[in-house]
Amino acid sequence: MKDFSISPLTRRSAIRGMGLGAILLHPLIHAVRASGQTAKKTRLLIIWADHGIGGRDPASTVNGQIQLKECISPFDEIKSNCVFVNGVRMHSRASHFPKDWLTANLPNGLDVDAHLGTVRPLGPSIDALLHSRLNLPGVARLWVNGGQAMSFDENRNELPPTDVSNFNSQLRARIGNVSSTNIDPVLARKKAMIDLAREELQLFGARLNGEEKSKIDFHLSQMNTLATETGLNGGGQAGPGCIAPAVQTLKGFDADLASAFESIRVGFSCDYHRIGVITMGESANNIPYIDSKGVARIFQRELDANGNDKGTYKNDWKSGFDYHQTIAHSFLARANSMHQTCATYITSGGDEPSCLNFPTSKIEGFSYFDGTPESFIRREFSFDAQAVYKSQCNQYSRKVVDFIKTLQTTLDADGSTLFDNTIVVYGGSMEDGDHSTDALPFVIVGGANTGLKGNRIITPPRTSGEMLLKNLGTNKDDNFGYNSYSNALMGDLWVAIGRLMGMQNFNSFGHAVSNSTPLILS
Amino acid sequence: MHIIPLKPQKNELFRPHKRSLTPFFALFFVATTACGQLNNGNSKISLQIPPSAPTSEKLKTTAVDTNNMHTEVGAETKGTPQLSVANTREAIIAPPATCQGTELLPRKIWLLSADQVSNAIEDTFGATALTGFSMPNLSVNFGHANTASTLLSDKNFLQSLFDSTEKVAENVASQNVELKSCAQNFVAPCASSFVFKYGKILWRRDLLQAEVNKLVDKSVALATQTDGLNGAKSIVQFLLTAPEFLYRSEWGTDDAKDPTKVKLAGSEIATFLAMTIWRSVPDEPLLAAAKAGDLYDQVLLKKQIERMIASPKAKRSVNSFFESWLQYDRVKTIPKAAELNMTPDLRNALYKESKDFFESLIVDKKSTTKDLFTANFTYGDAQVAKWYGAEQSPIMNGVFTTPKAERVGPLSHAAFLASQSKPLQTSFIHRGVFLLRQVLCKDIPPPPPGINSATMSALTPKQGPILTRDTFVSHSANPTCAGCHKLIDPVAAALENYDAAGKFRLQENGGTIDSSGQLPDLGDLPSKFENGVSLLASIGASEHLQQCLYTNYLRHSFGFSSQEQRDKLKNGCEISNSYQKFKSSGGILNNLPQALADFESIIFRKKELLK
Repeated sequence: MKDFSISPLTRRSAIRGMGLGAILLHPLIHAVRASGQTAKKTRLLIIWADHGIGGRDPASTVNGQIQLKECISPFDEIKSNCVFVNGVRMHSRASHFPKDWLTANLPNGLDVDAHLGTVRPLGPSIDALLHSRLNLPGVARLWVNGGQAMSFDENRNELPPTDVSNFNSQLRARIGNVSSTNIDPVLARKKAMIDLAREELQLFGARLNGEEKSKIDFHLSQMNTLATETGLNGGGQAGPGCIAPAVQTLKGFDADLASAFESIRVGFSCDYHRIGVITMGESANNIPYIDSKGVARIFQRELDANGNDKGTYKNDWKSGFDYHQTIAHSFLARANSMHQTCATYITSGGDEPSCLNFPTSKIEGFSYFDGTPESFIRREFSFDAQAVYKSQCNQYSRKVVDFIKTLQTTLDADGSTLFDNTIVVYGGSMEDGDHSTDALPFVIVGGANTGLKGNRIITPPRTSGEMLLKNLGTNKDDNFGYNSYSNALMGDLWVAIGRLMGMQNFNSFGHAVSNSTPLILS
Repeated sequence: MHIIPLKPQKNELFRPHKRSLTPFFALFFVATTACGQLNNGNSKISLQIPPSAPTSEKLKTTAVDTNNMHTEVGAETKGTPQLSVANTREAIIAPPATCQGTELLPRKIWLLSADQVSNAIEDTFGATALTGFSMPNLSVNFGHANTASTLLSDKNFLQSLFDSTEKVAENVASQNVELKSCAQNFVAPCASSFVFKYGKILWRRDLLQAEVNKLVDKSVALATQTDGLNGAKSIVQFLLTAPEFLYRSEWGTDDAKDPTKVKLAGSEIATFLAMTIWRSVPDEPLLAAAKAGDLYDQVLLKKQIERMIASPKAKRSVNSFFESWLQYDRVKTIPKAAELNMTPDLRNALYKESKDFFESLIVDKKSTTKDLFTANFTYGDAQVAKWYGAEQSPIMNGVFTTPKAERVGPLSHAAFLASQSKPLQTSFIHRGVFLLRQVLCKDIPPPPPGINSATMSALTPKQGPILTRDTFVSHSANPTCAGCHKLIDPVAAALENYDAAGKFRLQENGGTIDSSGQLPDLGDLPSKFENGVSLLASIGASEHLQQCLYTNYLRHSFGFSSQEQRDKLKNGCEISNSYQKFKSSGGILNNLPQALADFESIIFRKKELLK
């Protein structure tokens, strides 16, 4: 696949093309770049469904019209703004797999660190990369699995993990009020003062050179630091949507997801974050947290005597389960088991609040257990599991689409909408519950102001007749009894998105031996 | 305010110098390439110059920073780490015969210091607007607290600015009649009127309509979101946190005759004058003069300066300069051991003593350098008098119990001496270096790299009581250190009669303090002195001190951003001629601001640095 996407004009490319003229026009070229950098305020929201969004090839064309499978059918309402990607190949398996295992089992040349790692210790991911290279305000990373949320400040310091409802509280405190209708006047004034001073300083500094300019740059940097420390930092001017979200009163997956969506929307409006990652149903392994008694604990997977993952957890009151199985594997019965675990914990003297209020009714499955209808039968469910699955994955797509529609009605500071300034990526690191990663589906939405063009399906070529990863994946969609795999890598998607976000000269991500071939999204 | 005369000085303090004085300007050109080692360079100057002196062309001087010596253990340094500078010799002012051209200063932006912010608010909204205002001044760099190039708006400055403007906004919104009426119904016309009127004062120029609109739109939006009072407060804070207020700018316009120069706008000249002489914003007459172009006219410019000097606001710059030069304000915050009993109240009283001394003598008494630095009286309340050993105030005759005179001039003020001391002990080296560098404009190079001051301070074996001076004998004995320490140590020893609290003493650890010593060849100063008081008296009566003060005043006013600028200015003919005028007109310190008009840089600047 050839990259036909249009890169922003760089000084280097301009000079190459213009020769001596470029030297004469150097100040103008400088201005071109500078204006490009300051004018864009693009956001990226990655909604990460741990086990995918409904299986392989969810979009097709019938009689020239885009048809969507049931799991993502809600996107039909906004398909003119969507690019449906029918499959890019994951460089590595999902982050459940230890790096050593990946290194030992992956073909040579594939970079195990280059996936969007939802568990940070496994390596760099696209959100961190863009955050750093584009010098953006903070990243919000929210795990919606009954567990953690965290974010980074604009200096790329990782803020302590918390849960989603706490994140909601912190966001409200940062905006400076306690409810959406009662804004703290002092904090609102302080924020307005800082925003205006920053704007004025930038104009002032633009008239200066050298040492004199460095004074203003230093002033700005100190002001940013101060604003961050006092919880008032926004990377730029806030939009009218910068109003504190409502207090999150309910717990559980649905409430957390709603809170996460709203937090992202508000954070984008305030320009606290320009990148958000909502991870649904990720297994929370090796995540430290402080329990209600102030005891430091850690989610940690249990290994057998041979060092193999037993699929359970240790050293924790949640040992045995977290929300992952119920959310990512449509394993509704797990909810009851979880309830039992909590009951045991409480009986033994614990008082973990989230156990006391464990919202069984709010836990719903999200994808196949292992991708085949048979698996449901094998699990001896007493109900039509496949129907439940379809209903449930559709339900989550519904939530995502409904949220995206709120972006369409939220004005940004520049007068356009958050929807047009935000690229939403809906997808995951597996095709579905079987952990296969050979042709991951994605829906890319919005971002009209970045050049993203919707109403399209991208289906990269595939390779058949080879077994890429042994014993993983059950789709077996080729004529040889194997999974066909996509020739496009996930890095090709991220490079394309990174360029839309304004990261110039972004040529390779997660490709150990050569440049990526970006997907054509614009 | 009481006047506390110190004990009358004895004649011995003012006896004639033993050696005949070489013509002044020849003497202070004596330079060293390393401390104490004379450089026999080729002389290109007149026969007045001793054979051992290099010409001014050979002088290479760099930033002087009294805190840049290797730190004694426990010694307090003020401000942020200083520029590391190679330092050989600082000539003070070139004589007219050898001065070298004129040197325009480059354009720059100046961050207002905390006192300038405070004064500007007071002069704009009234003193009551400052209730709750608290901003510390920025750290001292390059020898002064207002050196434009090194003043940076660090986080602490911004934090205190935000906190303080919050208080000011509250005060103004409740006190200012116009804003109070706006707060009731915060709408654009009301806010615009306020911004036009007060923005012009705070930003020192007429505001553009677009600038007003931007501020008003933001404040009205905030008022709509919250309430009218909040909108009213915001307009005050917007004005006070904008770079147009916080920075003095020197944009200027291209000079039609010389493409390398820019001509400053009238409002920029007015701002320079007001911030220098009043430490505040220009008043209406000054802005009007600026608008009319009067400040480009030497006669009218000097008239404005005269008018400004006559204003009570001129006292601010007197204290600002002397505080910045002699740094006696450190007495308010420098750590002191509990046994010294330097309570906050006492510290403030001692600070006030020096402040009142300078303000009163210069502004009210029209004194000269010599008047100040040989004064046998000081200002203070009963607490200060008691600290100096007087049982009663205000009459201080007979205050001293010792047979010798104990104090002369402000260099013997407790505020100055305690500021140059450790918590419990004197700060031997810092006192010596400060006196040489800052007060006498004698450059001292930094110590050799890798020196271990703890080792160098090792006690030299001695019989009997060990005094501080004894502990530094090893410095002068060590060839690596001797070059500088032979200069520093005797001067430092001269102040050993004053303890860490600035109290006079004759003995230390049971031994009698020897505060006699010798000076390097510096202008008309004697080469030897019998004790600290005699040294201070000699310094106070010298023209050398007057020249150093004059140079420092210009450094303070023009805010040199580099050693190169400083050198070019001080070796230039502008300062030389200006100084001669100052001297011939009697050296009245209150007239120092008149010197500013003698410099082309008050109207023109080099075009470089700004776009």
